Amino acid sequence: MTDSAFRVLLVEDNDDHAELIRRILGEHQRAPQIVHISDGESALDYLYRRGTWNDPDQSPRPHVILLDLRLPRVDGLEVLTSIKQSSELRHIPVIVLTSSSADSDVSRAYNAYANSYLVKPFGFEEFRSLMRDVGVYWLTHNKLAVV
Amino acid sequence: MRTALKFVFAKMKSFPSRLHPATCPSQVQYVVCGSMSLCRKMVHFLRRFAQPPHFDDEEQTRIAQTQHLLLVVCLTIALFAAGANALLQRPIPTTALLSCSGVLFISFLLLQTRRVRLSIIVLLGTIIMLTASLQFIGHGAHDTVTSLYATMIVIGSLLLDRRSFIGLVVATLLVIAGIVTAEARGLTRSPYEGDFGDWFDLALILGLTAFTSRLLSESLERSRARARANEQALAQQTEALRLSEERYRILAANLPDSAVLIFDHNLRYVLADGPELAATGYLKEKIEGRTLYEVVSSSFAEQVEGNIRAVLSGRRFSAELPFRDRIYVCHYIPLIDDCGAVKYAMVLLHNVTAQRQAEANLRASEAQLRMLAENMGDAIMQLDSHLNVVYVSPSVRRVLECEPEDVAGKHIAALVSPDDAPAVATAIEEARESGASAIRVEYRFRNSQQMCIWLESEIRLLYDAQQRFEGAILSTRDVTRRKEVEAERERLIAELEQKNAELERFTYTVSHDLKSPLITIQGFLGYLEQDIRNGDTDRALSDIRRISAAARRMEHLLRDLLELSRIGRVSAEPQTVPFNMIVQDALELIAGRIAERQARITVAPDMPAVYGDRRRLAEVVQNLVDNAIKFCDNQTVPEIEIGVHAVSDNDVVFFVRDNGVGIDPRYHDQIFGLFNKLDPQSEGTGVGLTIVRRITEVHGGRVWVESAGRGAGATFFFSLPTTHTQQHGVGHDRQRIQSIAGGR
Repeated sequence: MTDSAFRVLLVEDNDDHAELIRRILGEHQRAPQIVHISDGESALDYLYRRGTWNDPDQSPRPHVILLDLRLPRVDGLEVLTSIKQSSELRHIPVIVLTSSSADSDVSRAYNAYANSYLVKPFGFEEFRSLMRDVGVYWLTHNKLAVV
Repeated sequence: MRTALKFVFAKMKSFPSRLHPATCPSQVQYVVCGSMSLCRKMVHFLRRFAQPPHFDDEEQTRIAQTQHLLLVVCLTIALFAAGANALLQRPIPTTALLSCSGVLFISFLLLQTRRVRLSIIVLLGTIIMLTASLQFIGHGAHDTVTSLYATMIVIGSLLLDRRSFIGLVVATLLVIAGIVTAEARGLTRSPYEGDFGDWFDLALILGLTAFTSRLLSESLERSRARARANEQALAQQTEALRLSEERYRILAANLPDSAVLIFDHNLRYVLADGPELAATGYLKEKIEGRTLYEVVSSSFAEQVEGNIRAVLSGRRFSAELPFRDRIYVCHYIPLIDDCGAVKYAMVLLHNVTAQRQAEANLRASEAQLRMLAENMGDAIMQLDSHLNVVYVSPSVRRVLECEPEDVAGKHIAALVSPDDAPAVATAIEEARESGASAIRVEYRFRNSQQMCIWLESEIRLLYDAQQRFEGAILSTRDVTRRKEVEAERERLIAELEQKNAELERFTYTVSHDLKSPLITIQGFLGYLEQDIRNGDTDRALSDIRRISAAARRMEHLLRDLLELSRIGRVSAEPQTVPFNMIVQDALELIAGRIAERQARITVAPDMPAVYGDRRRLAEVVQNLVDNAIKFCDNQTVPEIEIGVHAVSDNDVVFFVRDNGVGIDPRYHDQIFGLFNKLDPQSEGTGVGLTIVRRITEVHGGRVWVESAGRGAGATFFFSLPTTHTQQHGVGHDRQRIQSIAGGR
């Protein structure tokens, strides 16, 4: 765990999906360091460094957050709202990655200042293509804020 | 003489009135014409001269006429006597007679110059002088001419007033006395040998004659005056009668829509006039003077004869009389003369056809309005400018269920419940200020049975020409039922909206949760292919396990969804079942798991019976007990208690208490959501509590959880009905669940 590593916080309740994402992003030339958390409450604990995550060394700030909307305990939208309301966290790009393509979810997410909204595709190639693009864009091209 | 004069006049008139050579063929004829014209003028003068003068005073005229006649007679006698004297050589000198004629002519001239009194005096004076002269030259007082005094006295009594007459008589007696005296002295031609006794006799005779003739004359005068007065009175009466009739006629002719008929005792029209007479085609000229039977049909005459006879017998009354297409009001009035007897019967007819028609129309219109007001669905009220009820329709009985008398006269505020009165008053006030013509208000009203009903009033505001508020018309109807329906509709809409939102969440959740395993399968299939190509057996096996788990998970989801959709479907007829039996059913279904974890389950004895679907209710208990075991630490022996929390009239609240991990109060609502799992790693799809909630709701009950938090255990409560009255909701929800299942 070095400072130079690109950190992605993956908040995803489905372990299988998390594994798929981890594998595809791992194929990137600049493979990121992925922290997987499977429920909303734990994600907020990590970000606010509460409970088991109270040690800042154990919970470094991610560069990008990949957030599922349907999460146990605390809903993904609540997590997003909380991040964007926090002066410490709001600069971190939050990419909503969910299986829902409902318009209401898309608008709710953007209204809560989501930086991007991606729908999980069905096919393997499509899924891999999307995640590669995410890697290229967010890991290579996108310029992040320096805090 | 008059006849002769008239004859001459007639002849004169046949000649041309103007002389002109052109109109006269010869000179002779011209001379004749001129002479005739002269003669005519003379005759005209004579004619005027021969006639006595005329005075305004009738008495004066009469005296002048009598005097004129006397003069003509005397003059004729005098001239005749003078002629005869001259021929017969009588002792009376002709000159005397001629001079007497001259004096008479003077008297005549005086009369013609309208000096009647002087003319009489001259005449009488002449007669006295003439008589005295004749006596003097004759046989004195014994001469026959003495009788002329008597004639003169008779003439004087006719022509003179009383004083002058007395003077005349005295003068006559004095003249006779003078004659007698002269005779006695022997101054006359034949001396008198008698004494004054003869004079007394004469005086007595003449005095008696004077008295008698004067008496006669005055009596005649009085008779004449009386006759004249009578004549005048008659003339006045006639004039008065004429004027009276004239007035009647003017009145009759100008009374609008009227006619006046006056009948005598023979039912003869004395007077008939008026615009109505002409309007019915009768001419007054053809009616007046004829009898009733001659003018109208005998049947109609018979009809009205009784009435006219009644008037003629003195009755006075009014009656209505239809005639052809008209209706008359007849006033029968007896006309009474001075003696109090009925002289005529007057019938004053007034055409009231239009009035009757208008009255009939008004009655019909009134009846129609009344019928409308009484049969309208709405109660109609009229308010004055102070908002007091001045009219209320009988339909108020039906609408407000109170008597019109209870409402009339009251202020509008008294008809509105106190809660709504300020709002209604404000609405009317605002409408008045803004000049609005109509507003609609809804308010509550407590009727005579003290039932609160909802009323709706359409208020039409009335203003006068100056835009001042005059009052209002209220049309009020009972909208209680509509209000109930509206409330019911609102409730249903809210319920529907809630269900819709629920359905949306359900669909969303289902689509999301069903997609997830498919993405997993697709994704790892892709990697599996890669692994096989790369010969990475370990990862291939791992991928296959993931694919298999996802497929299984998919199967469970579908199974649970199917299960959820079946809730409410009739598996068995609802029945009343002791709750202990339901618990027993449930525990038998999960006996394996209970045994596996050695869970200790305590069930309260003799719990109340509930009404519902026995199998579904067992599922509730089964799920709750299953959860209680599942969310219990592996190191802890599950202890589960089932019992009754509360009992009310219609339902019972049961509980299932455990000593498990407990639930953070933040998630107490969330856990009942479809596929909601607090712990993603826990087994199951997260549909169990959703099924529990659905089943209790379908039975008209509800479910909730109480737990202090993690490690504190949890108690699930659920209410169920004890009687089938609550079952009413089951049908609804059953349909709803079926429709959801069908919709998918």
